[in-house]
Amino acid sequence: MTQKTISLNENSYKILKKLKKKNESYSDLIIRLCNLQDPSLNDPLLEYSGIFSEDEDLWEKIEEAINNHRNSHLTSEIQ
Amino acid sequence: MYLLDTNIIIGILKLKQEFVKKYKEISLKSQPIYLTTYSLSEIYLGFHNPEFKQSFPKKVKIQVNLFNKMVKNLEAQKRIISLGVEDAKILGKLLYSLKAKGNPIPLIDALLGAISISRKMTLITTDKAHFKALKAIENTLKVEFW
Repeated sequence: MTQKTISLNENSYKILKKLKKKNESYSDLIIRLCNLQDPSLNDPLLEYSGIFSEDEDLWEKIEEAINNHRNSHLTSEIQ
Repeated sequence: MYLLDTNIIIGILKLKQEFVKKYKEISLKSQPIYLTTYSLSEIYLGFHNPEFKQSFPKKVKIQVNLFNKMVKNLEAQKRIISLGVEDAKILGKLLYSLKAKGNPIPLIDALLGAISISRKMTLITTDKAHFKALKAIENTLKVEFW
């Protein structure tokens, strides 16, 4: 993985150092803090949102088929 | 905590803006947001749709690959759940009540309802009819309709 260098002032560094857990890298710490601020940043569902968007009409039909399948297995079938 | 029904997951993957916006809002309110293996199986069923599979085989392969990657990441975050022992106890009660009332609903709806009740999650769905019926039987079910 490529590395990027960022500069911090002394105060920011001290704060990060205080927040860093044992065995946690500064990269992991920054990701953890960003996730606390905005959990959607590390959300696979949002990361992959849109993978079905190109075939929206087709997925409408597929959804209908899924619904029909769901509606064909009712709780009343269980004795 | 929230639990997403299949229709919501598909809506987000279709980039339905209304769902994406609401999802971002709840993400900030409450984490984590869960999915069930039952929803995943329904979406995998969708990939086997003959029209889709035969007309766009390459596209299906790409979508399945991307979906698998998403599932793997969600699994790593422990956000994919299925029926556990405590959920099964609730499910049994629901199945009995539904039968007694003569009001059958889809089995997957009952599974999602039982997990939501047992784990005190709010279920998010578009299916008003069945989950209103379930809530009428078990008032502790927390459900939000998008």
